Amino acid sequence: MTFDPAIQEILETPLFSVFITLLGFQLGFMAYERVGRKVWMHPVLAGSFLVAGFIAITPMEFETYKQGSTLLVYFLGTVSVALAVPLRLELKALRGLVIPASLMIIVASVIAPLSALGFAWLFGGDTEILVSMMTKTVTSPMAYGIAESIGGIVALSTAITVFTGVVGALLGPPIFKWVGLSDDRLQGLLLGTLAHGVGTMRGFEISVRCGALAGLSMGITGTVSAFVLPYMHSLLF
Amino acid sequence: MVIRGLVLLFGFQMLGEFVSRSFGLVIPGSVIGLMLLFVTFLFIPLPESVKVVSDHLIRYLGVFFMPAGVGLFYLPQEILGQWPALLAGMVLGTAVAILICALLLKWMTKL
Repeated sequence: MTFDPAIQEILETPLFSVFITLLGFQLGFMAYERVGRKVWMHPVLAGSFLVAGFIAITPMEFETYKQGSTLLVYFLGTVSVALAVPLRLELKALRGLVIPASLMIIVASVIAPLSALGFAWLFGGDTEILVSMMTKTVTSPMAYGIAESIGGIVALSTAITVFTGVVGALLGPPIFKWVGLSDDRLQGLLLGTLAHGVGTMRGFEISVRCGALAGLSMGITGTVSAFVLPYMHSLLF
Repeated sequence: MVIRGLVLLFGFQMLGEFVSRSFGLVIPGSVIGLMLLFVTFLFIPLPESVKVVSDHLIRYLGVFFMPAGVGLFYLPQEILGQWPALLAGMVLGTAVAILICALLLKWMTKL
């Protein structure tokens, strides 16, 4: 396909990358609402698919998109800071849960990378994939730094992280039901620990305190993992 | 109001970056910013402006994951070729981890 030079120029501006990201998310969000908020139609998943499709059929290069959308990646850090707010407001919800929550998060930051690694290894993944798998439960802004320090492929790590969030938000609620875990505070802790940001979004749909505790456990999991993962990496590889 | 909230959020993020860099920490600046914001407003009341801005940002958290999501479709061929390993790690690995942690939490809290 060929385009007018002016259009071609616009395609290459960061403005356009941000625009199609917002548009893709908005369309994804509308589809998500349409199907009654089913997680398999999660706006991040549907939206990413649309944007990837757009890049595939137009002369726009993925490299151009990647550079242009850096703007949004920076902003992700600011949103992480914002997670302190629901945490502060819902602090009471954590009463009586501090010790079990801390223990669960420590266990999760060991078990989550190990089980991911184990299954990927069973299905024949090579070392690059295994290492990039380790950061999968860590929220993106943190996964970025940790993946770099243990030598994973950063692009692969962040993609795996986002997809894990969608899988976790999708599988979490049925598993909670199955094991009979009905307390929304506990569900929030698990969603944030194992499905980071996407799980947190899901948590806010369950209840405000569920989302707030998800945001909290997401932050703590990332911090604990920053210490656990480099050590685990040196033991395994 | 929105700008006031954003100034505070960016300010704490920057402060976090500063702490992370000057001490050479593995914990990213944004997470330190989160902790600093949290601790600060334990002692003084949280301004309405920060509440309003945070509420909106968090509701649309997913937008900021989109670039990484798109990246999933553009991974190098030799990595995409190993999709069974990728899928197994992400789906089975996550399911097992959630199950173990859910049982652990249920057992510890008796809820």
